[in-house]
Amino acid sequence: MLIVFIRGLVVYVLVTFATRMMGKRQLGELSPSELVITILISNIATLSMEDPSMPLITGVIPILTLACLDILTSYAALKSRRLRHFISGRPKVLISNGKIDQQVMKELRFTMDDVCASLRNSGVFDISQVQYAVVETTGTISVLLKADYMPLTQKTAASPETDKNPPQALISDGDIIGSGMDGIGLDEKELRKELKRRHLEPEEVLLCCIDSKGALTVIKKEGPPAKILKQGAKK
Amino acid sequence: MKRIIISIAIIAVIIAMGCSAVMYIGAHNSRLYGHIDRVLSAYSSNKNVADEIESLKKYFARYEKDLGAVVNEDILNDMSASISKLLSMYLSQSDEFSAECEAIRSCADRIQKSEIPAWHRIL
Repeated sequence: MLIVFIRGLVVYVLVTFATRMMGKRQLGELSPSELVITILISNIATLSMEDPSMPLITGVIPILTLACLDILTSYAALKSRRLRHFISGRPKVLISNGKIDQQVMKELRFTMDDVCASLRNSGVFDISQVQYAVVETTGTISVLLKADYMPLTQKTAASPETDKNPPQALISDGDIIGSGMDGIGLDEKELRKELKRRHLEPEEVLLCCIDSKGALTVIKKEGPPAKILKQGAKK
Repeated sequence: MKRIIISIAIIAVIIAMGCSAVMYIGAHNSRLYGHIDRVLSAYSSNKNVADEIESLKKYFARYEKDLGAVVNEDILNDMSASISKLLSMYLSQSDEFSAECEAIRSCADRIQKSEIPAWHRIL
């Protein structure tokens, strides 16, 4: 009995350490890989606590290995967009310009009930009020309402906004995102030309977004503080 | 960055511990084999068998304690049961005395082999 108690104490300290080491990402919404790691750690911890015939080390080593691999994978994913997409997937645009993309619904195996439930969770009870909705990699839906249903601000009171999709990221961490250019009338060549005009290479850009009017927002990498340029782009 | 270094350090320590565990078990096993050989030679010459069995028992107590942290208890229990049978088998002139000694050796061998990474064990 005492052995199980002491094992419980050791496993508690170890799991707390492993979770703390993996960082605050564990405390919020979990991405698929984080969910898998969390379930695995809890399972291994239970097994090594319950079975006194198993050496505790056979539970300690996999827990530490999983925690370390999670940290190393997160670091590698931070450096590589491809790996990040492979591990966590990509956000999917479910509603664009107020229109539901049924192909995306099929891909995600979302039913209309799931979509409505997720929208209700975001405080939207009428789907016709939605201008743009994205299914994030964690499975939650982020919603942008149509201009008519947006809360009134000083800016919108002075000049009411029209319905528009949020800005699309074209470059993230120096990588050109091909999918961001779909349907905006700008190709990679033009983007490079536009950046060259600003004396920049794509590798020097932390984030480059284009809004529905074709205006580019460019945030440079490094250089404290980050220089933000905003200019109208040539379409 | 600190976490990355800690993670790499932990993985390196785990790998080092795994390698040293194989060597540690190997060192313990060769001492155990020595004791078993002494018991068998004493048995064949019929001299000091009880003393050698006692010495094997004493060594096994240490072996069990040291390897208990890395080896499943079931296999150590099997070895312990075999060793405790030896004296009574010798006193009753059992034919299976040598076989029981070989069974202990085989268990020790299995412990060491189970720690060596091989595809058939991983898969």
